[in-house]
Amino acid sequence: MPVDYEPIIGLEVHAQLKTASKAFCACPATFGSRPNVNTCPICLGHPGALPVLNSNLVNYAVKMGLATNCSIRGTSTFSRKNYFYPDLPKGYQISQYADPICHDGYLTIETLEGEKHVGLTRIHMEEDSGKSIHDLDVDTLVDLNRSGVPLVEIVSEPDIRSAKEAYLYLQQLRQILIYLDICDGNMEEGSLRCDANISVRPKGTAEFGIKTEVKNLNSFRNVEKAIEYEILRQIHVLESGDTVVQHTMMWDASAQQTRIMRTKEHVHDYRYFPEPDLVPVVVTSNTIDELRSELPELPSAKKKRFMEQYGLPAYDSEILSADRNLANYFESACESLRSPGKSSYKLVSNWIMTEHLRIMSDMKISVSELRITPKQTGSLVDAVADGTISNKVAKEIFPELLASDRTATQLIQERGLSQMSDEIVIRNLVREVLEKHADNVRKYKQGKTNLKGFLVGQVIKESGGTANPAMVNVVMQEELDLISMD
Amino acid sequence: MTSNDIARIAELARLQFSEEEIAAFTNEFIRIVDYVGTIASLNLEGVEPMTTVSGAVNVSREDVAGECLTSEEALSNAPRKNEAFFKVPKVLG
Repeated sequence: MPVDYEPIIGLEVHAQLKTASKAFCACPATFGSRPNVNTCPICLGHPGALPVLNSNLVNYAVKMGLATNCSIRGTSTFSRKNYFYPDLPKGYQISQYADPICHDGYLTIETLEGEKHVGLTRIHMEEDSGKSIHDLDVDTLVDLNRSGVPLVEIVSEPDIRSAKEAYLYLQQLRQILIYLDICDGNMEEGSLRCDANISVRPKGTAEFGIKTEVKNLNSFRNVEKAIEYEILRQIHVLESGDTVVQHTMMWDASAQQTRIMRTKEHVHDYRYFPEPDLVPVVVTSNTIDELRSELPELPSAKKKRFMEQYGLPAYDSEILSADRNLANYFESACESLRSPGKSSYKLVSNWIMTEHLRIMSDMKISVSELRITPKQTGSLVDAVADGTISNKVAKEIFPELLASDRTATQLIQERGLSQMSDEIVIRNLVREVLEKHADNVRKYKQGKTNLKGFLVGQVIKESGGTANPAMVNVVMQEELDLISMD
Repeated sequence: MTSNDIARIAELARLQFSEEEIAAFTNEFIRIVDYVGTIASLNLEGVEPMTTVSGAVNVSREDVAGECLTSEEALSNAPRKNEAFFKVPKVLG
């Protein structure tokens, strides 16, 4: 009988914080294009230079902890993690070890099987290393602009059971970091990095299998694909009667496979010890309350509220709440509506999800760069909702709204696009069309009722596209019913 | 503490020693570890680990960016460089 395997996955995520200055010195935490311009004796690791803690490193870490249901440690300390690498000039990384500032939290992800908690073991504060460049010279070149930039490392419990769950967990972490405005969440540029610990075990067994760690997962797609690949690789190893070796692997995106980076026979011995140059960090309950009050509404809460307050489907709510600015845009557009109501809210959502998001993705711009304001969007929805223009005309004038500062109402007036809803005018047009197409009317009466659509279309054409289609439909039916065919 | 432990510690610190030096260090390390080990004979229940001696907490600075060195200054002590980069022996990516 074939064995059914169960993957066990835990993620370690490093998020680069959007502070103005570095973790332990006042060098800017932003990177210019030129190498080694944001350095000082502290982040260059010169002997005798002493680190001074950036207060925002603590604030941001605590905010992330609160947003992920963590306990915040009253007193936590820094430790030195010792290893040699050219882009780590001190020979140690300032990190946290036994007493991370946040611990024991969780995130709720929505899987196909329902809601699931993924535990967070810890969130700790640390500093980034510099950058090694291997392909510009026969030797390795080092740029220390990034050395000392603040990071939080977010470690999950081994609660994740599939590549898809890993994706959902990571996506939510990223959304929260961006909502909190503490990390830009850009995986391609390395401001959000993910390593995955993966093992498999026969379903029903309690013991974990031997795990491998997969690094270099620099996009969401790569996270999913690398985990899927590694799970299958490990199952294949076990099925062939071999054992999984505890390697550090890296994802080779061009070959679409995991490769061994180093074997863990020499398990790293980082010889952590308390950092004597930094005093303990004490976070009082007052500070926690203060930081908690600064937290924005988080994506999952916003999604739920959008479903309740605006009556949106889960799908719409999810997409709109994924980006804080997009959610704000949606809410301002709804607020600007002349005739607010759940059907109009859904129309606003439809416009944003089709047109706005398409333009944002085509032009690679963010919502704040959109050349159409929430108010303009609201005016467009109003004009369709009250029958001033048809949806078709709305789509036609949308590009013009993008290029102008006018509202839809103004454009409609200027261009005479207002939908005709004058019943007398429409009835006359209907009668004209019925006379002109007497053949088709006869066929309709003989049972080809689908010809009604054609006749309605003719009326709208005659009106130059301005006749209100719903009204034409009603009048058309009345007039057709009046005609007898004897 | 055995000479193997000393060899491993030396390796981690990227230091090279002769057999004789390792033997000498082994004896010294044993004495040091024994000495520190006297703490183990104390009753330390309820005593928090002490990481600093001053008792100060929360020494931090505002998150404001200040001046840096120029790249010429930053590289002025570098034994090897390539334009504005530090240059080190080839490290495999």
